[in-house]
Amino acid sequence: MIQDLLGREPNYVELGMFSVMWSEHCSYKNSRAVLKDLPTSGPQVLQGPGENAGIVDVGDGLAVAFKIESHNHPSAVEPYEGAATGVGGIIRDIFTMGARPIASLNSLWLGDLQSNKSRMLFDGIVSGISGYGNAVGVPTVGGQTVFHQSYENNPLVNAMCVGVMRQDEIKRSAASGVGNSVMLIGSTTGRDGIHGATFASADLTEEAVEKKSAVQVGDPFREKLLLEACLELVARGCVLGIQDMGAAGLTCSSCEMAARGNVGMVIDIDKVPRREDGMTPYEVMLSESQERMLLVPVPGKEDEVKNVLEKWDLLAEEIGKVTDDGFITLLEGGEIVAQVPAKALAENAPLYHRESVRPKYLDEVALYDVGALEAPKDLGGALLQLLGSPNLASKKWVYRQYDQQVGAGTVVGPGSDAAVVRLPGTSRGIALTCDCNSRYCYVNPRLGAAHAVAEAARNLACTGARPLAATNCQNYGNPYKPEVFWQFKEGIEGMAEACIALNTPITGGNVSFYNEDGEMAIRPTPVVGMVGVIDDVEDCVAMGFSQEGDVIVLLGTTRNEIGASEYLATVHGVEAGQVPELDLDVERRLCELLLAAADRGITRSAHDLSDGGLGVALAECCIAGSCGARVRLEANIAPDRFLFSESAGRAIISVDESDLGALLDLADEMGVAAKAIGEVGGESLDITCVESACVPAQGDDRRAQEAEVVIALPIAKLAQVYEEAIPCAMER
Amino acid sequence: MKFGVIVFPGSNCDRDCRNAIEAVGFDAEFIWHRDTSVAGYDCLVLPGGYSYGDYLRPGAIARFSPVMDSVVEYARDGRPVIGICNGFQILLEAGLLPGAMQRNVGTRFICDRVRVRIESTRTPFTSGCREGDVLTLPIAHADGNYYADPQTLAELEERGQVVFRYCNELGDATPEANPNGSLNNIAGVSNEAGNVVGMMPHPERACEAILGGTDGRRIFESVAEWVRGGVRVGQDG
Amino acid sequence: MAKSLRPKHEDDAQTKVVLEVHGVKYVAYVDVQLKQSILDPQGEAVRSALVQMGYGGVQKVRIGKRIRVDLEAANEAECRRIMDEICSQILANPTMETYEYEIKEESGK
Repeated sequence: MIQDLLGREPNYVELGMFSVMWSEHCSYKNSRAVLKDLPTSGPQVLQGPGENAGIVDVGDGLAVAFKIESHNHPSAVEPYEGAATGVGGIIRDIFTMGARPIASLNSLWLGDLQSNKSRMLFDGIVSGISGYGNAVGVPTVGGQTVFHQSYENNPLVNAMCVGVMRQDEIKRSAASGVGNSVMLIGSTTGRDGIHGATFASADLTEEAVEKKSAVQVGDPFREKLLLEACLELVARGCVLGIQDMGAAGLTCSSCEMAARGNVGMVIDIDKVPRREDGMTPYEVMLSESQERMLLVPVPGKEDEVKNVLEKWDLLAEEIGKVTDDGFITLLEGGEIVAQVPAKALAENAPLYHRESVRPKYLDEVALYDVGALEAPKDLGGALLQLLGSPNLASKKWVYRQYDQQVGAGTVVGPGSDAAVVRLPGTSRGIALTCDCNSRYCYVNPRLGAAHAVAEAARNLACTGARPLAATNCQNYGNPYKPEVFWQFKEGIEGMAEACIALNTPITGGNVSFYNEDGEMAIRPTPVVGMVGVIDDVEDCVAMGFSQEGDVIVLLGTTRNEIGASEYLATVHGVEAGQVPELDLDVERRLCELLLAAADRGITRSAHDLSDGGLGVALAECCIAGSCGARVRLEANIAPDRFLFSESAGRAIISVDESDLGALLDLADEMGVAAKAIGEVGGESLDITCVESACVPAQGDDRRAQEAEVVIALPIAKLAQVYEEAIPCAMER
Repeated sequence: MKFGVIVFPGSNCDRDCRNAIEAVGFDAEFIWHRDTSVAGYDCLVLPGGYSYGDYLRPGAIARFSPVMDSVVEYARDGRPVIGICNGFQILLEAGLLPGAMQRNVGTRFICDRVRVRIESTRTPFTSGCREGDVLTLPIAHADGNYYADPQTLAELEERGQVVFRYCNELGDATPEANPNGSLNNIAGVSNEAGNVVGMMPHPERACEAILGGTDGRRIFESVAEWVRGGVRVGQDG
Repeated sequence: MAKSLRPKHEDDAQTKVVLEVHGVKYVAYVDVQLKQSILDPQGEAVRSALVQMGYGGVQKVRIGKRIRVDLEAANEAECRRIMDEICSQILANPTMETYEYEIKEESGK
């Protein structure tokens, strides 16, 4: 096929260029056909997929650039540097658009914490994110960490970055202007990571582990200098087109810039500054040395570019020119050593339509009869068990290692539903989250992916932010396995449906396939990163109960839905059943209600219900606010079901007693079920439950059934279990 | 009142310092590390971050930046200089403050809120506080474990050069209140004259209520008040 | 252990120093160590990990730096003078660290 495109046989260098550009990681050859089903446009979208990052309009002439990307395979082999360079790569994707990075989040998936290997990977990955992110000076404000054995040999590190700029400062990557200079800025080129792109596109076997040389080593100091230099170039109007060099290095940046601009480039390999001797053209073009960018400066500004880069102690070399022939032409010693059409490399990778077959395990899993389960006698014990399980427990061990505040913009940091960061020069703020429940996706790939979108939107709405748009990181096994491809396709369909219903178009993201080691594939893990906007950041809503006497209101409807729940998995040791139903219209109305209540200033605290259901959410609100609660539930299902069901479309908010009427009216108007269930106060979480059929109606003189005490636990105890789980597991 | 915030390659908290100083009501300008003039500033700030990536040792390379000669002279003139976090490390490496910083005893980076007790009100930066006041301030560092040899340590304590000490909510400097293993729970020190101060916590991150606290304002307000009073340390009369 | 498995800059830095003086080429290896009296948190963490891994016989671990300097000097005495300056002023922090170095002519003598 390459022969057809070139009209001849490719030489070694050209073959190398095709092999990286047509790898799964760069070309999305196995996923492009399916990804086009995702909604990508809307009035709020200033830049959709196709550039280094997506951009949304957040008002006041400001634009927010954001994206999430994976760095899974390198992190499995060398956790510190793999995670570090993952963070570095995504930060570059943001500042290459002209935005100053103001926040990072990450979604981490590791094996069971009982295993030495998982703990080692966990430790290394968190250290890498910390070491790199803190040094570059971008605060890490949120994310998620999930533990499950399917990730034991295939950890996932999905790094998200968000930046802000004025809308008239947006920079894109298309090269233009025949005769314009092409400059390489940043660091020297070495042999790092050659074939890192192909490495990411293969299963992680023992042989692959030997390929440790394919892992790049990052220099956050250089990156910080590059960040400041690039933003200075943008501010001075020096930039026509700019692209960072990540996977497939100079090959990728040159052909993408040329293809997007419908031009060509001639590159003189000799002019590329090296850090190692004797590098061949192949090595120069495929090197993945970090902290480098490719720049087409505004004509006449080449010297100014050199001065700015010199000030920051970085290099700036003219290595080529823009041409009109549509080819990437490489010269060495004056001779042409490779010549390939830019579009062939960047855009015309083969498009594959993989076979997809519904996996058989789905039937077994769906058949599981949750009705037969016996509830534990001690529901308080069950709640403690859940709070102390690594997936639900406090992640403070992780985020205490991240600088959460550099930049002096973090209003709500890690540990809440969503992070809130204020935008400079305005009263606005943005809310950020990344979410995915891979157990749901395992049991029902389509519905699970839709749930991820819904949960992200709910998390943002709880803080008082309107969800605007999303980025996505698709993590799956080997797409050549029909069952895996089926999971992927279904996941995209589910995500698309939810994004359309909730008006959160996808502005970009990443697909990571081959997350399996030959035996076990990871669970389907489509991570959603979402951005929302708050008009006045001073009004943002936090999660913890705050005032004694505040009324706690449960929004939404609770059904008997413990299928695929954290409760079922942790307390009963079963991962099966049906995923809770998802009504996107209910979700939309819930978000609108949360926003309206926040807007009116009546919401004292808000927290959405997800993993662990109502019981866990109440505990989390008590712990966050250091306040107890007295809750009286009227349930038409058994208490354990009511407490731990994971029915969607629910949240708990607390309001001042005097605002209760207004809230209930608002809920009624918006068609959201709402019921006061108790009040904030005391030093323990006291929950009683009565069968709702036995609650007498007004005017009925019959005695009510006595309420059963189901939970009575001091906050101090809840907090202790919640906070100690992960530190204890890691200090072993 | 004009503060000069020095920017080294790799400094991260320079803009935060400027924004905080402006939020408290004063002017701030940046001084690039290659500039050799620090004239015209009432107070110099060396901000936090990772100058030169913290390579070799935090602050080890930044101390040789061209601007540092002027900073040394400015300090010798008795004028106020404050080093925050990495800035503190640079002042230590430059010999403007006694002692040195080591890796945190837990070996990990820590980002959290801590309490510090004001030990000395002799410095421009704490002249507006009272001895024993407890401030809540954020820390974010991997190398905040303060060390000085036994003789130096004794001298520091005797001469009142310890300015901030990690403490609990009651103001007690207990081991539990010490986040990084610093000797004597030391969170900040001054030179003998008292005009140069280094502190590991970040006051610039605690100048606006929305960011979680405003105890940091006192540091900047103190030095502004002190400058207005026209006093210079180390001068007679 | 919180650090990367690959040597990072401070653990095995290669610093090349080229002087204007044309002379003999030397290679110096500098060992920078924390003073004995100082607690070494990283060393402690590594010792503890080794013991947990089953190496009960390990009693002490101290982590320092090894720095290679390639330089030109008129003669060995001059080379030592330069190295003493570099080590005491930059490569080691005299408050906390000690250093020693060995010099070889680049030809290997």
